[in-house]
Amino acid sequence: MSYLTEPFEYDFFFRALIVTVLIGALAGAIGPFVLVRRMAYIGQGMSQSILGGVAVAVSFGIDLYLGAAVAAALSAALIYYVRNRGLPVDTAIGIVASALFAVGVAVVSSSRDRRLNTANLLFGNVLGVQTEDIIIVMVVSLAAGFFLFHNYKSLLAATHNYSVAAAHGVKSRLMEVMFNALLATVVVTALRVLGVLLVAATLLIPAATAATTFRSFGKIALWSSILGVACSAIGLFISFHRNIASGPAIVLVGASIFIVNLLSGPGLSGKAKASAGR
Amino acid sequence: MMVHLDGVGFGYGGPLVLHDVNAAIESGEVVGIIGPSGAGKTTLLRILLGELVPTQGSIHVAPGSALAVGYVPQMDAGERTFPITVEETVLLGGAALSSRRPWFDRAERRRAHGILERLGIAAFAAARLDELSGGQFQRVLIGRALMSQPNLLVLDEPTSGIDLKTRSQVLQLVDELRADGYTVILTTHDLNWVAAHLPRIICLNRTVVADGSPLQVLTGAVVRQTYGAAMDVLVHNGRPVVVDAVEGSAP
Repeated sequence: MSYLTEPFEYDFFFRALIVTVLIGALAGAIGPFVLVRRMAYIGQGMSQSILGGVAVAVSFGIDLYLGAAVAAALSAALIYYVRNRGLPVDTAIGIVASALFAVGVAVVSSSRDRRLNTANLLFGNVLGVQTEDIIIVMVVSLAAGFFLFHNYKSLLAATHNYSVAAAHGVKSRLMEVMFNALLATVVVTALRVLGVLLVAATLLIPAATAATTFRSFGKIALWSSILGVACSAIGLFISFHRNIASGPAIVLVGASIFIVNLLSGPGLSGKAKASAGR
Repeated sequence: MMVHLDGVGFGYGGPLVLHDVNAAIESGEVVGIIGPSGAGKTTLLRILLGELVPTQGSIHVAPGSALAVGYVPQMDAGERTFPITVEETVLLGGAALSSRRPWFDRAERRRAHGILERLGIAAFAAARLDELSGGQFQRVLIGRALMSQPNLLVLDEPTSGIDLKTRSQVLQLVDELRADGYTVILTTHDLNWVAAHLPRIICLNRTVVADGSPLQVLTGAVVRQTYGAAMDVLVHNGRPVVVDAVEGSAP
């Protein structure tokens, strides 16, 4: 029992739990859209790009989130520019993300500023969660939840088929822009707890686990969100007790659930074959 | 008259890919648009869908009515592997008409089930799209378009890449939609399919080459002008049949 109660003797754990659970729910909710839009690489690229912005911001005493947001916007603009010069999008992401990540590593490695801790930036650190982080995550969660609640059907229609949804009256372009902005915001917000290298995993693993279990997209989105919360909470407890970084702990819990789920059942393709054989 | 294309032309920032397209589509008509690749069929559909704005001419809709288009795109493997059920897919056709809540209400679900029943795929409501046959999937796409409460159905290459049995099912479905009073415009490369089953054909090659019944339109001269290749047109059971020209045959 003390395994569950002991962490609450520390204020930082309670703050971290609020933040990770909210981020888990949020990442879990938008994860299925990232998955079906095949944007996994964009999520990974954007989160890596952020390291440059964060490192420069911290070095100059600017707010970490501001640096991350500017880096996210810059990487999106550069990816768009490089892609429009005729290169495939995965190449554009690879070049831009690697370059901005390299900027971050260069700044961190050449700086003697003790606030720039490489491991914390890469893998997350619950000890660093402050009250301002909780406020930011709460505001982002409320705004994102409001957007998803009111636009779920339009977003899903535009994601399934952009042109068909537009022909049927959905504002597909607006949904596209809003979703990309939402994804960038979530990546920036999750930075403190998950670190730049592991944000993409928290978007994908709960979504992939739910997608191999349920047929309905609605159920996939709901269970992905629930799994996101569960992985975050369990991962945080493990992080506390085993003294490992929060990001890897959360991702390892998610990956374990994904593997067990994959190995324990026939999966949807197996079920489909079974029903087809009847 | 439901829709009137009046001298419509369009270019993607360069030379016009469509010019001087004139056609009137009456309510309840089923019209097939044929033409070679690059003839402007897809561009014309995108103009009808409102995706593109004509750079020349204009589109007129019957006074007092608005154009509500139900769009059935070409079958796409990406869309088919999307993790979503048949029922959800059909419901999404009505997303723009629905409330802002993240779920569909009972009346919408009843309507969707009515459409699924009507299309003969109600038994697959809970199935994923990748569990369906080609014909069943095509019916789901039509169901989604019907859910948008259209007065004009646009089908892009509904017989492309499907087997003979599925093609026959699609044909039957188009006949049923016509009987239900829907106005239907479809594009196809399948000349003999439209000649045998549709009452009106528009031959397109950047402009309207011919417009009328299959017997009026599918002549050797029109087919040659549309496709730029010699083909023989035979008449079988009162219907034109287009075949590859045999060397030395009469033009």
